[in-house]
Amino acid sequence: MPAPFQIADFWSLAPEGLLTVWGLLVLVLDFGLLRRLEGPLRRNILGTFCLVGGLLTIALLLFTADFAERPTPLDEIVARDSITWWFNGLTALLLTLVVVLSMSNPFTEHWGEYYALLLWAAVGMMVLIAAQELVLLFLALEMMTICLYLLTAFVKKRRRSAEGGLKYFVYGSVSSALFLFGLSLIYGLTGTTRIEAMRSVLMEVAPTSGLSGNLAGAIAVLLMLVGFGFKVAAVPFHQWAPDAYEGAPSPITAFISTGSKVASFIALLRLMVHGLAPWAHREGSLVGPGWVGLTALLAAASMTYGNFAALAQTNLKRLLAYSSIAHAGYLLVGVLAASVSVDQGYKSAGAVLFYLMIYAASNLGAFALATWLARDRGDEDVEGLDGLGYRSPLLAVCVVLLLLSLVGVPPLAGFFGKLSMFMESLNTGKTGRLTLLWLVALALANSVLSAFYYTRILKAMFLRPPPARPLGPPNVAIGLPIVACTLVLVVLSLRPSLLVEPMTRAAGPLIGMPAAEGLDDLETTLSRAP
Amino acid sequence: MSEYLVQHCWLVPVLPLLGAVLTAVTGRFLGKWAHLPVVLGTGLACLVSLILLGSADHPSTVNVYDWLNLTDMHVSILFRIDGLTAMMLGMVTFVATLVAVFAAGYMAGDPGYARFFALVGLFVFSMTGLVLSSNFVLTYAFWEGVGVCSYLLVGFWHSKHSAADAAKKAFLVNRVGDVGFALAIFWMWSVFGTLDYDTVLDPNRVGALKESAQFWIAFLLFWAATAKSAQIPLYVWLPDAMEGPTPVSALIHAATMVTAGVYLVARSSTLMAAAPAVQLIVCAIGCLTALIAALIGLTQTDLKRVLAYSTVSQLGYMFMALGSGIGPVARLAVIAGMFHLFTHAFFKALLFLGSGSVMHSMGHVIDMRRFSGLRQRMPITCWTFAIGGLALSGIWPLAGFFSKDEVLIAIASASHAAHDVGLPEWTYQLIFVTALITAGLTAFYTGRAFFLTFFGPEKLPSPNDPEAEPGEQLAHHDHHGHAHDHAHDHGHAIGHESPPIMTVPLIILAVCSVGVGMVFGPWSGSFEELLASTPSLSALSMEHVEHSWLVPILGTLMGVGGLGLSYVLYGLRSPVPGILATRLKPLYLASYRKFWVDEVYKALFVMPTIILGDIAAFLDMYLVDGLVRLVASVPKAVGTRFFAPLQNGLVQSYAAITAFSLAVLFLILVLW
Repeated sequence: MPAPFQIADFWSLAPEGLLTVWGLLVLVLDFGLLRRLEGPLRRNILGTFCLVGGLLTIALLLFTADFAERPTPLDEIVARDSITWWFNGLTALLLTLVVVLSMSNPFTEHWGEYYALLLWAAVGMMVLIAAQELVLLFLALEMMTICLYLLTAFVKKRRRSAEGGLKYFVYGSVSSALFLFGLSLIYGLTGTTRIEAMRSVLMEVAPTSGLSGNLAGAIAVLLMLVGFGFKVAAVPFHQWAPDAYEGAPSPITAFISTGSKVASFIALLRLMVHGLAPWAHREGSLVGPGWVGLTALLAAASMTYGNFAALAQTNLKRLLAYSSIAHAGYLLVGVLAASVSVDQGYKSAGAVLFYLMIYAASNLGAFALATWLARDRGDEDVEGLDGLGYRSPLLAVCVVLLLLSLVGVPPLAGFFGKLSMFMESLNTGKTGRLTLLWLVALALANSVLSAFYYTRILKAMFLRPPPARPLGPPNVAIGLPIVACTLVLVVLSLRPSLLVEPMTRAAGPLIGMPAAEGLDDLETTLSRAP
Repeated sequence: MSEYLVQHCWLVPVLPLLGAVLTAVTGRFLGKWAHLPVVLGTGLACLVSLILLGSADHPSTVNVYDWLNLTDMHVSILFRIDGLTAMMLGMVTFVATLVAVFAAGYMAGDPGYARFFALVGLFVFSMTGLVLSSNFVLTYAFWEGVGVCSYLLVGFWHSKHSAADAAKKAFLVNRVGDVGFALAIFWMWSVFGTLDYDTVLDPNRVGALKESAQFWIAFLLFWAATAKSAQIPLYVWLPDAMEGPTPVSALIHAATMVTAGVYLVARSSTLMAAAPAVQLIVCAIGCLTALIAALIGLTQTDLKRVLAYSTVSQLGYMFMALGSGIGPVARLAVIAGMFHLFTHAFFKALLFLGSGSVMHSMGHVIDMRRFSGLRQRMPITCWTFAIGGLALSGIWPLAGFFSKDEVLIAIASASHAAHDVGLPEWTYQLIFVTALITAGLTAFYTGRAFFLTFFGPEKLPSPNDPEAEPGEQLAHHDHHGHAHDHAHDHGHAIGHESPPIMTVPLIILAVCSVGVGMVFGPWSGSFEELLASTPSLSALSMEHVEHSWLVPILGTLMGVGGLGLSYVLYGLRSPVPGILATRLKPLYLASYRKFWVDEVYKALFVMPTIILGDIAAFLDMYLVDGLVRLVASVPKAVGTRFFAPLQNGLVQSYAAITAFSLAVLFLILVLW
C-alpha cells in the first residue's frame, strides 16, 4: 500500500508546473493586456516573457538539484533521478533557444497561442522524460505531439505548413493508436503499468528466453516499436518527418528534431531497455526472438536510408530531416549496445545520453541557420547560403563547427559522441560483438556518406559567390542560438568528460538498478565495475 | 613557490601564447605597441622558467589537462619538469625574450608588425611545449607547430619571392624529417605499447628490445633530428632561412628551432646509447656537417650567411658530441652536447642580432663587400660582435671555450671506448682530428666576417656598388619599406649605431656569452649536475674522465691560429685572399657555390618530384576524378532514383508502406 501523497511531494514537479502555468499566463497576457498591440511588438513581449519562464525553469532545476534526497510516493510514477534532472534541463534550454529563435521571424499573428503551445509541448517532453508509468507516459507523449501537430500547421498562409501538420497528425494518430494497443497488451501480460514492476514481473517469468513462443509479447513489442519509431523518426516509420520538418516553422522544426526526439529516446530507454530488458533477446544470441533484433534492423535501415536520401536534397530543412533520421539510426545502435551488454550497459546507455545532448545542440544550431534562410528568402534552399562565409564570417564558422560535429569530425564533440557510443557497442562482450560489429561498421560507412551532404552546405557558404538575393544580416534571435550551441560544442570538445561522466552515472539506474536509489549506491556500483 | 609553479608549468607555453593571441586580436589598436603582449608574455615565461630551475633536480610529471577521458581511452596533456627540460626552458625563453625586445626596435614601422610578434609568441609557445611534453606524441605535435611557425616567419615578407621560396624549402625539408619522426613513433608504439618518456626511455625496457628495433628506432629519431637541426643531408633549408627578418634568424638559430633536433636526440639518449652503430653514424654525420659547413662559410660574402653556415657547423659539433655517447662515455657525451647547445644559444643569438644591427644600420644591405670599417660608427655592435666571435672561436675563458672543450673531450673519450662496444677506434680518432680542424676553420671565418665588417677603411653601401641589385633603394630613400628588411628610419641617414632597445639586448647577450661558461661550466659543475638529474640521463653510465691538458691546448691553438690568420689576411687587408681565390679557383668556387648541393638536390629530388607531381596531377584530373565522380554519383543516384519515389508526399502511400513494414517486421519477429 503506497504511502498517501502529501502536498509537499509535488514540489518535485515544480518545473513542469511552472511551465504549465506560464503557458496559461501567456494566453491571458495575449488576450488581455496585449490585445491591441502590433504583431512584432506583441511577439517580442510574449517571447521575452516565455524566455523568462524558460530561464526560471532552469533556475528551479538548479535549485532542486538534490532530487534524490527524500523518496516520495510520486517516484514510482514520475522519476526524480539524474536523467530526469539533466534532460529536463536540456529541454528547458532547448525551449529557451527555440523561444529566442521564434522572435526572428514574423510567420504568424497568433503569438499567444504559439508560445503557449510551445511551452506545453515542453511540459509534455519533460513529463515524458520522467514518466515511470505507462499511462502517464502515453499522456505525456500525446500532450507533446498534439501541441507539435498544431505548431507544425501554424503558418496558416503557407500550404506546406498545413499539409505537413496534417500528415504529421494523421500519421501520428495512427501510430499513437498502435502504441496504445501495445501498452495495453503489456498491461495484460504483466498486470502492471509501472515500468519498474513490469521489469520485475518479466524477470521472474522469462529471465533468459527473450520473446520466443510469446506471440502476445511479440505483438506488444512490435506495436511499441512502431510508436517509438514514429516519435524518433526511424525507418520505416519516418515518412512524416521530411514533410512535417519542411512545412513547420523553422523554430518548431528545431524543437521537433531535438526536444521531441530526445524525450522519446529517454522514454524508449526507460521502457524498452529498462522495463522490457528480459525481452531483449534470448540468452546467448542477439538475433533470436526479442526486440533487439528488430531494433537492429530499424537502426540499419534508418542510418542507410536517412543518409542516402539526404544526399539528394536541395532544401536545407529536408536535408536536416533526413540527417536526423540517420542520427536516430546511430542512436538506436547505442540503445542496442546498452541492452545487450551485461556489465557495461550503463556505459553504453551513458554514451547514448551523451550523444543525445551533443546531437541536440548541433541540430538546434543547424536549424537556426534554416530559420535565417526562411526569414530572408522564404524558402530554405541550400543555394541561399552561397557566400555566407564572407558576409557573416563568425556565424559561418560557427555553422561549420556545428555541421562538422554532426558529421563526427575529430576533435569536435560529435566525434566523441560517436566514438563513445560505437566504442561501447564494440565493448559489449561476446554475445553482442558480432552483430553490433556489422552495425557499427555500417554506421561508420554512413558517417562518411553523411560528410558529403554536410560539406555541400560548407561549400555553398565558402566556395560560392553570394546569390542575387543574399541573406540579410543576422539578428540576435538567430545569432544567439547559433553562437550558444557552438559554445556548448566547443566546451564539450575541449573537455568531453564534463558531460560523459555525469551521463554515465545517470545511466546507472537504467541498467538494472532501481531508479529511486540515491547516487551513493551508484558510486559503489561504478567503482566495482571494471 | 617553485613547487607551486611546477604544478602550473603550463604557464610557460601559455603565457607567450596568450601574448600572441592578444597581439593578434588587438594588434590593430595597439599599433606600435603591438609587441608588448608578446614581450611581456615571453618575459614572464622566462621568469617562471628560471624559478622552475630551482625544482629541476627532482623530476616530476604534471598532468596539465585531461583532454579525453572516455571509458577506455585516456588522453591527457602530460608535461614534465626535469633537468633537461628546465635547462631548455630557461635558455629558450631567455633568448626569445631578448630577441623579442630587439625586434621591437628592428621591426619598427613594418606593416606586419603585429603579425610578426604574434608569430614569435606562437613560436615560443611551440618550442616550450616541445621541451615540456612528457611523451613522444605531444612532442611531435609541438614539433610540427615549430615547423609551421618557422614557415610563417621565414616567409614573413611573403611578397618577396625569395622569402616565399625559402619558407617553402624550410617547410618541405622539415617534412622529410617529420616522416622519420613519425616512423620512429610508430615503431616505438608497436614495441613499447606506450609513448610515455618514463616508460620508453627506461633502460631495462630499451635493453630488452631486439637489436634491429634498437637500431632503427635510434636511426629514425636521428633522421628526424637531421631536418630540424640542419644536418647532412637535410641542412639545406637553414642557410636559406636567412630570408626571414633577422630577429627570426636569431630565434631559429639560437633558441627555438634548430635546438629541437638536438634536444630530441639528447632526450632519447637511452635509446641512442643502446645502438652504438647509430651513434657512430650520428657522430660521423655531425663531423661531416661541421666540416663542410665551415668550408662553405669560408668564402660567403653575406654576413648572415656566414653565420648561418656557422650554425650548421656548430650543430654538427653538438651531434658529434651526442654521437660520442657510446658505452661508458654516454652521459658525458650528452652533457657535452647539451652544454654546447646552451652556450651556443647565447653567442649565436648575439652574433645574429649583431648582424641585424649592422643590417639595420646599413639600410638592408648585408653583403660584406659593400661596407667595412664600421667600428667607429657602431662601437657597441662592433665590440659585442667581437665577444660573440671570440666565444664562437672557443677562446678562453669565454663560453664557447668550455663547451667546445667538453665536446672534444667527449670525442676523445669515445675513441678510447669505441673498442669495447665493437666499433673501430680510428673512426672516432679521425672525427677528433676533423673536429680540431673545424675549430680552426670556425675561428678563421668568424674572424674574417668580423674584420671585413668592422675593420679596414670605412665604407658604407651605396646604390652604385657593383654588387648592388639593379634598382635597389637604400633605406634613406626608402619611404614605403614594404618588402624590405628595414623600414625604420624613414628619411634619416644610414650608418648609425642602433637605438638602445637593440643594443641593450646585445650587451646582455654579450655578458652571457662571456659568463655562462665560467658560471655553469666545469668550474662549478652546476650544468652537469642539473642535467645528470634527468631520469633518462642518470640511467646512463658515467665514467670519470682523466682531464688531459692536451685537448684544451690543441683547441685553443686552433682557435687562436684561425683568428690570427684571419687578422693577417682580412684585418690588415692583405691581397693574399684575392690571389688565393684566383689561383685555387675550383676550390674557391666549390666553397662559394656551397659545393653545388642545392643544384644537385634540385636535379636529384626537386625535379623528379615536380615531374612526378605533374604526372600525378594529370592522373588525378582524368583518372582519379573520374572514378571519384563515378563513386560519388552512385549514392546520389540511389537516393534520387530509388528512395525519393518512396517519399511521394501522399499519406495513403505512407500508410501502406507502414502497414507493409509492420507486417514484415512481425513475420521476422515471429518466424525467426
